[in-house]
Amino acid sequence: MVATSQADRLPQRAHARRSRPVARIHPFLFVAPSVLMLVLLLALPITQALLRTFQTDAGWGVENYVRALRDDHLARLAMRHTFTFAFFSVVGQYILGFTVALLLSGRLPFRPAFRVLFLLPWMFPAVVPGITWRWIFDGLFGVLNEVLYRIGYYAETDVPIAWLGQTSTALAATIVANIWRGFPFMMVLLLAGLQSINQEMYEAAAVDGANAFRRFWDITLPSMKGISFVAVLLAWIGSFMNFAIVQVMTAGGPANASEVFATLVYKNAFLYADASYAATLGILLLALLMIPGGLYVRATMRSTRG
Amino acid sequence: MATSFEAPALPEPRRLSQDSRERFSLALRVAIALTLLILTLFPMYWIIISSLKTNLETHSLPVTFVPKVWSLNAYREIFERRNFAHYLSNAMIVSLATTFWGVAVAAWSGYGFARFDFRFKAGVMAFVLIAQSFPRILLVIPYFEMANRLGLKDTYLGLILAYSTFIQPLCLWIMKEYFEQIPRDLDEAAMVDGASPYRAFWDIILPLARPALGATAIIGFLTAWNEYEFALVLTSSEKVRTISVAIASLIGEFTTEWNQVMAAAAIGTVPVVIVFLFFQKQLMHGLTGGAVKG
Repeated sequence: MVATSQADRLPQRAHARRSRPVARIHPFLFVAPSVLMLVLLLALPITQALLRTFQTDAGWGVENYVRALRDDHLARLAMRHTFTFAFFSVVGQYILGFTVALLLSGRLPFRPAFRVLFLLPWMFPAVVPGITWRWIFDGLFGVLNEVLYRIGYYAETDVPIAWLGQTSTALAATIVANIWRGFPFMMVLLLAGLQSINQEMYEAAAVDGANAFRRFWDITLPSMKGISFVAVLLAWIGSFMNFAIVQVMTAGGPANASEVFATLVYKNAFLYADASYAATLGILLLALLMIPGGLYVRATMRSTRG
Repeated sequence: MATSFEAPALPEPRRLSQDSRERFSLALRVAIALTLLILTLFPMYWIIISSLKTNLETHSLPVTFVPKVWSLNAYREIFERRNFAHYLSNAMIVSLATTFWGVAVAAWSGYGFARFDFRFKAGVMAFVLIAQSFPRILLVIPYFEMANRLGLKDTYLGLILAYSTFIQPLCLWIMKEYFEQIPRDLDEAAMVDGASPYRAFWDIILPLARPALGATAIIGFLTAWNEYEFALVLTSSEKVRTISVAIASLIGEFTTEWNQVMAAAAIGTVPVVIVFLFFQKQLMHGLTGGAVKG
């Protein structure tokens, strides 16, 4: 099309970013399918759900929100549980993930084997950790109680604890399952972070006489700040909206002791057939997730553009 | 880590205690690693062991760590009486279809996002990223109603569309990131000869993106296979029920045959573990490259 002027410009190719203007239709045709998908599969349903939240028995209004935010004690309880669940899950996943990442980033025999095995819990279908730990925690025939008997925690005549059947331990049990399920994700990200730290810094510090603890505190930890932030955000988001683990282990019980927002939304939508209120709770959940979500987007876009 | 750097300068006696300190720290690392590994693997051991017990033994005390009576009853039951082969194939069909479509759109559009700038690009990119924070349990509500209205309940198409909700943004981002790393010179070299951008994409760039295509496909497949919420809500009969829903449905209201539940869990997990073991490298590549920056 403009071949002659192309030949003139060739020597400058290395410096020009785009030496030939591309017709505007091309980007559109490339990008259109996924934008269409995003609109149809995400934007539209979310908008629909949002509109649903304003539908009340008496027509359009904000009654659902008033109910969720002011009147519904269960919603507030579920909110507290969700924060507890997410917080302790993330803390547990971080500690466990970081420990394993540290072990895997240093000298360890059979390191590849360790790495593969530590990654396994994360590969499981969402329901499997829930169901497995439910069986482990089973009050009558679960293996946890059996172990506790054998190590002497229970006396012969003690009644075994029904971990999922009592309100004080149900949520904690789900958190344990979630930590087990989620720590490999943390481990992968943190390991990548550890492996990208410049080893020369450690050598220089060792020459200066810094011991292992100082090297960890002054070099490792600060270098891990960025990736830790992203990892914690993603883990928080995942735990905050978790449904499968809690639903399969306790369905929010007993007596709402482990009710989290996701299970509450499900209950309202499909057990109480109150889709409008369920959507309201869901939208509130979405709103809360926009904070860590927005932070994640900002962190990612910033480093992408650079 | 830096001891080889120091060793030549140290006098004999110090080197010995350095050695034993190193050996101690290595022993400590191995001990901790093994302990954590046992804790990590025990639930998996328990799944397998429980699935090989008889139903009676799972409801007896004391709980046995090795079955007194080894039995394949659980597996027999779930395949012969409970139709699990059907659920496995449903999950396979839906996961493969979603993955294929997801990767295709992601590669095609990801190229567009990587190469071209246009007015709302940043906004769309931000939307793709924030979509990861959309709670699925919220999305199931409009999906449920739409599926009912459009007759997509209990259909493969319905599930595929629903799964695409969260798989497409993920795949798109990974492909876009990968394409951005391929130098533009290659495209432009192809287009200098008069080739269209589509030719450049198909003939030159796409073959280079094979590792990313692999990673995206694996991540997509794993995400689809492991899904629960949409499958639970959008299927009511056995017709297109997936393995996740089937496993959970084995928990009875009054009694539960735990050996069968564990057998189902094992069966449902084996495919993804196989995929994982064979494609680890691509998987890790895609995850750390696509999900995280910096």
